[in-house]
Amino acid sequence: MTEDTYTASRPRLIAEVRVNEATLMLGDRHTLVARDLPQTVLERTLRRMDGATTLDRIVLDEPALPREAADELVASLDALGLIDDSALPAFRSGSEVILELEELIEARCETTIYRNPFWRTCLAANAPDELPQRLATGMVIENWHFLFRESYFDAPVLSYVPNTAVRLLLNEFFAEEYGHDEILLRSLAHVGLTYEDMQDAIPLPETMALCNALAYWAHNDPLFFFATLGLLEGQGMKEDSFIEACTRVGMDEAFVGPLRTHANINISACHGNLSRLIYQKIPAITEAEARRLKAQIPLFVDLYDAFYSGVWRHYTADAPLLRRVSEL
Amino acid sequence: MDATIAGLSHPKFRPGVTTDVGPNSVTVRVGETKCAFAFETAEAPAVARLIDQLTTGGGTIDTMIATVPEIAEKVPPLLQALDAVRLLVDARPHTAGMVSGAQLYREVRRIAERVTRRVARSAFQTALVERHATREHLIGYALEYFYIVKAAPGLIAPALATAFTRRERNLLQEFLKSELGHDAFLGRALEAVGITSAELEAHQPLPATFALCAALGVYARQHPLSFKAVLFLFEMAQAAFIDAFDARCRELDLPAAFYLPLRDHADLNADYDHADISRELLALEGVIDREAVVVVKRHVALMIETMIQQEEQILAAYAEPRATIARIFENA
Repeated sequence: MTEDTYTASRPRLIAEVRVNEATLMLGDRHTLVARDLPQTVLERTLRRMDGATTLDRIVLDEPALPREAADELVASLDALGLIDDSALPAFRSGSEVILELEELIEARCETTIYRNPFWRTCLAANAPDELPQRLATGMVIENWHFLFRESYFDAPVLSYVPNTAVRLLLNEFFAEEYGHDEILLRSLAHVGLTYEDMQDAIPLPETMALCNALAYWAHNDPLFFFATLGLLEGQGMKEDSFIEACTRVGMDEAFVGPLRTHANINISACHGNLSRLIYQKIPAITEAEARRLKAQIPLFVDLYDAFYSGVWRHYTADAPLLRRVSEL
Repeated sequence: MDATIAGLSHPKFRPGVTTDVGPNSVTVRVGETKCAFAFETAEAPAVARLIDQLTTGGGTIDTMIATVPEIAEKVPPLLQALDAVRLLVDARPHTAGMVSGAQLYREVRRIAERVTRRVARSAFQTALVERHATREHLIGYALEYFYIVKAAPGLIAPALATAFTRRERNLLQEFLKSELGHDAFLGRALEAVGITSAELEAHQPLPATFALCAALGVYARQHPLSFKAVLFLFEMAQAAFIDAFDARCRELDLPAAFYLPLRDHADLNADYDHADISRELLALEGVIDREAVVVVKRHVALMIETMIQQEEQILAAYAEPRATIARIFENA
């Protein structure tokens, strides 16, 4: 078992074996005396520890060598510093794992985000009353809250030490993302909201939940954080359905224009490919890591789905547009 | 970045500055620093007005220039020179909305009461009292609670790095110590209703449960003040809730080994007087500026809203009986 650190699954003896009558010499310093085993068996066993043959194979080929004796022998040699093990614990490449994660994201979206009333409304809207301005404004408000906090969840991975290529991608991405909240603020200004208003505003709990979840993962589980970026940045998207809907229903260009500017930056910089690009740079992901990453995918998609549900709930209801700290 | 003087919108002499205006020169002093400059006799009245304004403070650079048109061009380089030798401060420090830590705690408690009051009653407690809560609901509640308890030490620990006084360090260390090992304790309660330890490890929290943990953990790292201010929300005694939980467990024939540890855990928090942890920590804070106050209040309100959402999500997610109650997606 590779999980047992005291066992070498493909042992390689690093000392030369010499026969000296009733004993075996290992290098210059160690002498091995066969007690429960014939010396010839012991010698053959040692000579087969070449780093290529598994211990399982060696035991199988040597009927006179009980498994326990083989394990004990390897453990004793290991304790003397005479054993290397070139065997690797099970792993897969990042480029393989990301495909499975994408499949899980896609499957979870089918039953959540793709059925979310907010997106169904956007896809179906053709006339002004089919996408109310209040709902569109609300979407931009919550998006602003998200982008305003982008450094909370991008910053922890800008210093990603384990992999320079990944770190460079992330820094390039952040440089391209920086200031996007200012772009959305131009749309909000058109509907009468100021920077001061937004400084007083409280995001919906679902928006903050998404921001905090991402920041938490960025701090504590960066691999998982990387897997979220594709969906968040619109992987495979050629256009933004929300912006298309705003345009179709005839909203003011002063409102829609900045949204389009923002979306086009992301699309032309291929931010949707970021998860894939990052994972392609990661040589190895252990099975345990892959399991952990996959297990959390529904939680992430559900948090993202809840973001849109929150927008739909609050901005189709008859509550004040902005939730304000000054009114708590 | 701009030159330093650009940062001062309302320049004023720093405290302790004295000036000595003569017929053709003026000397400005603070401590060992001395700065003197000469001017034409005809400029004396304007220089006196300018020095007067810098002593009183309150005007912008433009309004100052407007009052001394005869030396207008000389004012910006003069201000730059005074700034370079550290004689100027901003006359309008951002004091509006500042409070002490202790005062912030009082305001936060009031906000918590108001936000909580807007929601008539705990949805989960209502389900307990009105006997709608099912076996799955009760176990689901314990599973979500378990997740928070399991995560807690890791969420709290980063705050230790920003505890810069002995008192704060002691408070946080004791708090962290008092939260250790509770996962094993509650895990045994869940095993009493058939949840295996493998299921417990693999259990994925509801979005709101994770949001609560993430908020606490992220604030501990990114905004310790918010971390300190929201802690009490997790530690408030809920005697009526626990009584209702026990009663419903007994009605549904759930074993005492399941619900008693939950009660013990709640009592533990009450014994340690955890609810006061926010007050004790915030009392150690000095002055807190307006933006930090707004951020803290926003985070407190959001935390309460998320707690309310968590109860709603538990009621929805654990409504149906199913073979494995824990939420596991490892083989998805």
